[in-house]
Amino acid sequence: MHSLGLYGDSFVDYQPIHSELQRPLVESAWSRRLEQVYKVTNYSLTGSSLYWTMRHFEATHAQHDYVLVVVTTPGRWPGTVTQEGWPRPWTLSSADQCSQWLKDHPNDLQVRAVHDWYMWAQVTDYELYTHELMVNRIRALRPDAVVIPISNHVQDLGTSLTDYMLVTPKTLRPDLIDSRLDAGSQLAQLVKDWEEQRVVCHLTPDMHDCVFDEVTASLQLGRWRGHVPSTWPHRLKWDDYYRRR
Amino acid sequence: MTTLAIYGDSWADCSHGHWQHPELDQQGWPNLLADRGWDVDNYARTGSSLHYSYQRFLATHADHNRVIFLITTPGRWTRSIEIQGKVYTVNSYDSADWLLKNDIYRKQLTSDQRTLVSKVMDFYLYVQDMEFERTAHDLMVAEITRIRPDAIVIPISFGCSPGTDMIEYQKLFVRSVWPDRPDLMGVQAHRTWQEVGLVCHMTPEINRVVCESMRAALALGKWEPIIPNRVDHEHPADYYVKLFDA
Repeated sequence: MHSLGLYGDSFVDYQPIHSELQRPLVESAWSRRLEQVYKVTNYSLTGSSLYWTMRHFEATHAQHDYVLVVVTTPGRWPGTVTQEGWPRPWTLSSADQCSQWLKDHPNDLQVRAVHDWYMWAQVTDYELYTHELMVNRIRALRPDAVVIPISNHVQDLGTSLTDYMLVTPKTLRPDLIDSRLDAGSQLAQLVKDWEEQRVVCHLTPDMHDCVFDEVTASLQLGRWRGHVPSTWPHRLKWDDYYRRR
Repeated sequence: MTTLAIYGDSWADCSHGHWQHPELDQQGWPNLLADRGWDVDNYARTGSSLHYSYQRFLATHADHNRVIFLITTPGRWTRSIEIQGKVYTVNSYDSADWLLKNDIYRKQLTSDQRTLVSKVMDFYLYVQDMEFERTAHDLMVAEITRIRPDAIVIPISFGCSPGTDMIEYQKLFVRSVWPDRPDLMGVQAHRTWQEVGLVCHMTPEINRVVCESMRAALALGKWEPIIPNRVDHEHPADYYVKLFDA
């Protein structure tokens, strides 16, 4: 069996379980199902930055016959903190995440500063440039890597996992999608009102079928080919997957 | 005429180091190169980050036959703040602290600017990940040399990029004007002396040496300067700098 290194954020990391409804869905996750085909080492971490991914990639990619890197959004703080009772590093990928943390840790000066950095001092241009340079570095180290973006911040990476995520509302609740907006804005609008319920790695089990097929074909091809369907058959209704906030 | 673009920070910004003597601008090595026949566009700005220079480089390098790129230190916050028409960089905790504490400027900062500078201080103190900054820095340097393999790339200090760094010229200054003060060799200059008659952190005499080093590098296509052991100076040391412990 060939070995496969998986790198990325919550689109790959099926470990965090937020509700009992999610637990049986883990086996449907595309990253989990790849374990039936490859000897998988999953280095992903929910909320992690591309820098976190790149560091692990640089250290381990040579150990694997195949590598797949899911490229997260630019601008995530590269550090992590330690959460009591949680065995893995805890990430702070947005000001909102910091605010959540500060509710339980109001005297945490570092997280307060990270929150304020997101709000005041982060330099978007710098984040975008360095993001693109890190993507190029990963591709230069392993030209055969399957590189999948979660958003469309870097050109020429092909269809994003956000595009796949949006297939579910496009199929079940097209009224929720404003087709005049780009994918990122459509997603932002959606998650404002709707919370994931029977969803793992941000995708329904049905969409995991779709992404799994695309990923396995791409690994054979040696590049991400990602064709996003306009709609996709779903076994359940919209309200079974998402609940209103 | 061959056009030359210069990118970098205060080590290439001819307006730096002599605020009471603006006539010294002309003694800076970029201007000396212009005197020697180069059509120079100097994009360097005091206190700027590598990202600032890198952006200017991406936007303008194709307009120039030759490129000199001084690589500043990693980890400088990449934005600047405009205070009453003047641009200030906040490239370290100390510079943020200075902006907040300095009475003259405190009165000029808006409330939002004061908050921003204090958040930048917190960034340096709690948020900045120097491993990330170092990686981003190295990737930008690699990209500069990939895009322009003919660029003369010069580190300003140890660890900015490979090669002889500009601090070697600062040591030349110490050797030349204070032969009896070896303790000043390799010091952090901004903590040791106030610049009075320097240009690009160097005396006019040493700027002439740097100009010749740059001309040699442009002829050779690479940065391999031969730095003399000492340079005659027209004035005593205190004409150029005021030692804080004097």
